[in-house]
Amino acid sequence: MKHRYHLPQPRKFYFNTLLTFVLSFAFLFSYAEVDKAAWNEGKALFKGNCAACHNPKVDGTGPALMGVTARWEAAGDFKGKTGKQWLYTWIKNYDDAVKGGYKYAADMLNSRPANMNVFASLKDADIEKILLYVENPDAYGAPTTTAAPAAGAGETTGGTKAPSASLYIFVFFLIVLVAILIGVTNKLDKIIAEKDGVPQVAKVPFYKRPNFIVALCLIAFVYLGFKTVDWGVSLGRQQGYQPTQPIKYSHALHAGKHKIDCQYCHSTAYTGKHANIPSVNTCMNCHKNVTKGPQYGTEEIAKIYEAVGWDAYSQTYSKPQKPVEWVRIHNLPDHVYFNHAQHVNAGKVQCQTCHGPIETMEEVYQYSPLSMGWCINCHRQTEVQFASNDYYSGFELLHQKLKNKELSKITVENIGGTECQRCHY
Amino acid sequence: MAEKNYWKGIEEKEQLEGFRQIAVKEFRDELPVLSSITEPISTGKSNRRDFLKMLGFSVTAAAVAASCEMPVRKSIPYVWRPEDIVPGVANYYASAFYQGGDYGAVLVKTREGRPIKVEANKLSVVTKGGTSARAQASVLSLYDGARYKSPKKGTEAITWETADKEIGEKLKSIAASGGKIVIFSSSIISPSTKSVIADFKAAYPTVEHLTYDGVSYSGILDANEKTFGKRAIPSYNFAKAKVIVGVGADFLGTWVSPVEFSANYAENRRVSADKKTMSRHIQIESVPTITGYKADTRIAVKPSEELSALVDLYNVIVGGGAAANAKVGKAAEELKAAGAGNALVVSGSNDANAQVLVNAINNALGSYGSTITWDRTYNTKQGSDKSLTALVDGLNAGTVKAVLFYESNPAFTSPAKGFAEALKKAELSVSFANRLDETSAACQYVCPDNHWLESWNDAEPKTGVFNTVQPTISKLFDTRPFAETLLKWSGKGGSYYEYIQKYWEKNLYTKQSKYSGFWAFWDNSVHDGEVVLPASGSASFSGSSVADAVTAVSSAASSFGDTQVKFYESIAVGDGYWADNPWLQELPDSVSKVTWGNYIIASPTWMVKNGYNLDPDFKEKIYAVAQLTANGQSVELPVVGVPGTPEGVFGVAVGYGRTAVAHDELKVGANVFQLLSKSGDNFTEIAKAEISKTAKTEKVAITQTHFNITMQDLGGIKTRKVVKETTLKEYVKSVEDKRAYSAGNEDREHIMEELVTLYYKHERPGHHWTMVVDLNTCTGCSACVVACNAENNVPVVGKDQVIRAREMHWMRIDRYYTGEVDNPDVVFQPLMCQHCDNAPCENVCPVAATNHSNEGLNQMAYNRCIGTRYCANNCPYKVRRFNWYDYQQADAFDKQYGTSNDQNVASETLGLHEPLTRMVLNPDVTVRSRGVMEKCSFCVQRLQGAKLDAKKAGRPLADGEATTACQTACPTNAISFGDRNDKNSEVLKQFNDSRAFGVIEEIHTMPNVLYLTQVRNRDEEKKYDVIDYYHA
Repeated sequence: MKHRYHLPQPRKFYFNTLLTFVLSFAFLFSYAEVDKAAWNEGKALFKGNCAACHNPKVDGTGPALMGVTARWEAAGDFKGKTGKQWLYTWIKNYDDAVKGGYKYAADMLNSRPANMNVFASLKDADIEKILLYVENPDAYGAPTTTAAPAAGAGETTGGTKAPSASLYIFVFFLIVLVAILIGVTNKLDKIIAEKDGVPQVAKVPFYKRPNFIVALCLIAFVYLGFKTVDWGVSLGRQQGYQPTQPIKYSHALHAGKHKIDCQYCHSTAYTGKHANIPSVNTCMNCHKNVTKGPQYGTEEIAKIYEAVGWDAYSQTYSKPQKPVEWVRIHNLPDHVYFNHAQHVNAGKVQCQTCHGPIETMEEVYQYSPLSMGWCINCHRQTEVQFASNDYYSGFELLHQKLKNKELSKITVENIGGTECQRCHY
Repeated sequence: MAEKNYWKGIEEKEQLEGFRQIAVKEFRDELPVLSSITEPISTGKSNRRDFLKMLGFSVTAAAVAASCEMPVRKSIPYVWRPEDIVPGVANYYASAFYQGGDYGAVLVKTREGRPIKVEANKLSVVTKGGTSARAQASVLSLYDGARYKSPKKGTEAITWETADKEIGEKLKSIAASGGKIVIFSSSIISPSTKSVIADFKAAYPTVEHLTYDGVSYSGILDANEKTFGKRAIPSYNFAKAKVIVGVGADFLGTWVSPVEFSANYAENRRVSADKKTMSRHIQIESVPTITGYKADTRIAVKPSEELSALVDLYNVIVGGGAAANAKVGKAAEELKAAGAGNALVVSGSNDANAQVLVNAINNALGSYGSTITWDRTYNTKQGSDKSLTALVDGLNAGTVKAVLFYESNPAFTSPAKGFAEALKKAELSVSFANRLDETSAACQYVCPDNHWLESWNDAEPKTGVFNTVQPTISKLFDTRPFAETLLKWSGKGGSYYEYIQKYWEKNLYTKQSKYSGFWAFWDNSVHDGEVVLPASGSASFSGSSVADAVTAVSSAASSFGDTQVKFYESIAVGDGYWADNPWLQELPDSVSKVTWGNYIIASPTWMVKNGYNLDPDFKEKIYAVAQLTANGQSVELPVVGVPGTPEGVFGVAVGYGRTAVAHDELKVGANVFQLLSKSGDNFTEIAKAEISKTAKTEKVAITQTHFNITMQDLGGIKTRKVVKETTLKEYVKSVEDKRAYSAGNEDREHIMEELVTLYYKHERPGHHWTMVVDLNTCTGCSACVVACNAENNVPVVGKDQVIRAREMHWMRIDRYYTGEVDNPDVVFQPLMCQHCDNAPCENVCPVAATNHSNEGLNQMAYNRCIGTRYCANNCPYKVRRFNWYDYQQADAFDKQYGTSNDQNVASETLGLHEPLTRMVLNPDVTVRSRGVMEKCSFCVQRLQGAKLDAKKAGRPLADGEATTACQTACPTNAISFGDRNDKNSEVLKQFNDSRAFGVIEEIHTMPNVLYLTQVRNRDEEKKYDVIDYYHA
């Protein structure tokens, strides 16, 4: 290799220029061949069916797929089918290809620890489009990362919208106008008085008048009192709390864009007290393959690998593990018992009811006040699954009341959901 | 109409002045804050300034505290979540508890990988779904700060490598020189551990395994060897016996297998309209036990007369002669009249000859094969008192060079003299104790064993009944299972877990036919926790030694003189193994109601005659101390009068007076093992004694007079119906007459007629939680009290606070006496919040912190409570408990109170607030802070959990699904609990039973807890002091 440093400069220059030229042309031509509509369809199909295990360029659970058509074709014809046809068979149901006796298929099966899924529903045309995308993943640029700066990022409260600045300016203008007008009328009064010869009494400024002082004190007392109580009540409440998390995990991307079900990760919300923060192995179900994110590239995903001890090179969990220290956002006092299964499973409450538009949150914040009044309010208004859940079949008195139209619906309150010891024990 | 007078103690019976002073008050202390404010007035100083100072300080402090930032809380998920762990959902693992001689098949409840509660294994054929107080408390010992954290050499921590190397070399050299190596243990019920010991013996041929139990069953074992050729204890079937005579055997409290016997006994003590018979139980005993208190007829005798009673029984039943004691003679006639195979005689004596007599009596009664069977024998009691003598002699003679102590603490439990000196002569002494005890403190090396909740093990409590013991937490400290240590030293090494599996594959799997693969067999065994192989044992009686035994027992009985002492095992601490467990120390003894320490039980009549004050200051609880001398040794202990104790009889519990414990608070009482003397080969529990009063006094934390609900100023028993009882004959008659309220409960008819109310009737749309307690089967064993502690994070308050009547137990077992002081009738009554539908506490709360749920629960909202204590004052049952201190340090203001004054708070001094010990807390239950009221919640967290499970599954709640902790702990199923709105529930059936009544329900509280009357199976008339209903 050493001698390359002694190559004359011009030659190197020419060589590079030539190479660039040739490659650019090659790309131009090859891109020109790709049908954009089919490519887009193929990409969508790939994301929907294959991306959990495959990546066009990188080995994951499944092999990197770029060049797959060529590889299968190179494996040769068999039983009157071309390599490409065998590939189609394999994609639909890998087992058919193996049982068909195609050796390359058998080799593929043995080369990987996990078997491929069966995609019986894919038509040949679909597979064609997928392969079009797989072979030319960058034909229409890398996957777009410009997906609009996530809504709500940097916003710290989920509360009411602040009035616009123009409104303030308008109010200020009005106040100034009123002050000027008062000044003008006073001046005019004075002129008229002088003209009429009315004797001038030295005027006490308004802010020295006892009425004003009393009124001001009263207002100040009421205002400060209100503020004190308001502040006292809000002690320990954290609505809008949005701490910085150790990993810049985006719910907007996962739950919003990719529509991953909340309980895929927070699986114990349905069965247990806590809606668990997923253990890192759950992340690895996808991120074994998805090694690059749209916003932070590999940086944030690398933190998952570090936590779980994943060695991307050897594809093994061989490194030391380091748990992720997330900052807990939703904190209830110790004397409150809250059970997710009760609400999510038994009550069929949507996650968003309490957690807000989580699918749009780039960084999660506490949407609800989590105050007792807020809980009770919901318990008063929300209907229980009275008819559909057989548990309530023994609640004869309430069934009777429904029948007699004494009650139009059974709310949580009707079954005792606002009593102290439903949450405090 | 005259009523029986019930009383909790002699002070109440006689309405003594000291008692009256405190009985009328809900809270016996003046408010400390009031005294500090009123004091300056008396000294003429201004307190207005002090008030302003305090006000200023508190406002500033509050402002400073409030301006603190909210803490940032971390939430750290598993890296790899174990499949079976769902955060916030408990897992249950079947296991077996065997500690300090107490056995139980259990389920261990774990939350997020830490055990927090022991529940009964309902599948067990031995403990039959019951538990003991000790099993319930054992989970606290897991988190004991006094546990050994690594191997030790002297006081210095060493590594396992060093320990293995040094001890291994010593063992080799001792074995090579022919010196004896003794493994000294309590009874080992693990077959795999025994096999490991056999392997160890193979590696070191001079090894000898000696077994010794602190509370010895050597006498009965020796007797069975003599008469049956088997050194074992057979199975007893109390359910089958129609007449039971217990002679000094506390089989419901401590004797052999109390949980099993209680369940068994209760089976034939439960009466209902469908079952109108019950067994007849006669107890002949000196020092009162719960078994004696539960008996239909209790014959109070001196300890030596327990022996002569056996001779009497023998003479009448076997010899056909007459009895010296007419009452005993009558009992013997009843036994004979019961018919072959329907009677059972048990004796608690550790005198082998006495037990030979018992065997002869049972043989003559035809008990063997019916009420006593040899098909399964107990492995839980194998110890021989000869072992202890052999060890001490061997060490002194220099033949025993090395001694290894496993689950044994002879430095404390040894009655033999000179054990400590002898131990010093050993070339090598090793203890495997998992926490500090007297023996391990005296040993050269400590190689700590895992706690049972941390290890794999197996158990064979009775022959052919096997349990698996599985770890429920990763080991907390650098400890190693005893068996694994022995395997290592034997040169075999390997894991004990695999060893057990191999053992089971070889010895158990081959004997069963249910499973066709070993792993299926093993997995199912671990899942169920128990494997029962067919019973096979048998033995036949040989009477050759009986004649000698009769002579020996007769002469022994006459050798004890007038003043006698009996040493007994207490339900709480056993042989002292549990004396370092704060839950058990604070558990009031069922008989004496004393916590924290032992004392001399004496007859109140004797006390009056001998100048002991029966009326001490009950506020301070100062008792006179006496010196008790037996076997040439003396102890000084306070004297506590217990009705039912004959004059000249004294009782002292063993197991107290531990010195090698981590905290001074646990060093209570005196060790009396040294006072035991020998009779034949065995240490006998009876001794000739001398007693003399000293000038000293001592505070005794007795709860007898606390929370009194029969105050005479409120009309006493006249207007307050607390317990009700009747005899079997009358009960059967009233049932046959189809009366709505059976005998003893007739007055309820009138009470129910008067149930008129101004309040609107509460609606119960869903469930209506109800509890019914059968007084007839409640034995007072107190397992429920400790279970409640564990489930509901009930704090330990310590001796000082108990003396001030501030114990926090949510349920207590009230013990009511009636009749003569020297031989009273007793009723045990577990009392917890009665969840009144018309609760007096609710009306008086100024902030509505206590109110009613639509499921009938009397709710307590801690965070709403401002601590006025009006509710406690207004509660007619006195079941509300006030947090005088932040007992569990729940508040952010850590250590806001000092212990500089005399108000010691045990939770702090015992280290119960340490992070390690706090791991035992139930995360579903709030840890209460200072200044709030608390009480029984009917285990609302368990009810909510059961409801949620049903809701998740979309099905109605099944009967028996929602349970309370006390109910599941009860060995006799005396507590029923359920939903009264469920027409088919068991609890509704009991609620409507003719025996059901509410405690003082005549004041119209409409309690949701009812009791079933006590029924006694006896005809004889007893003398009662009565209170005339209308003329007093």
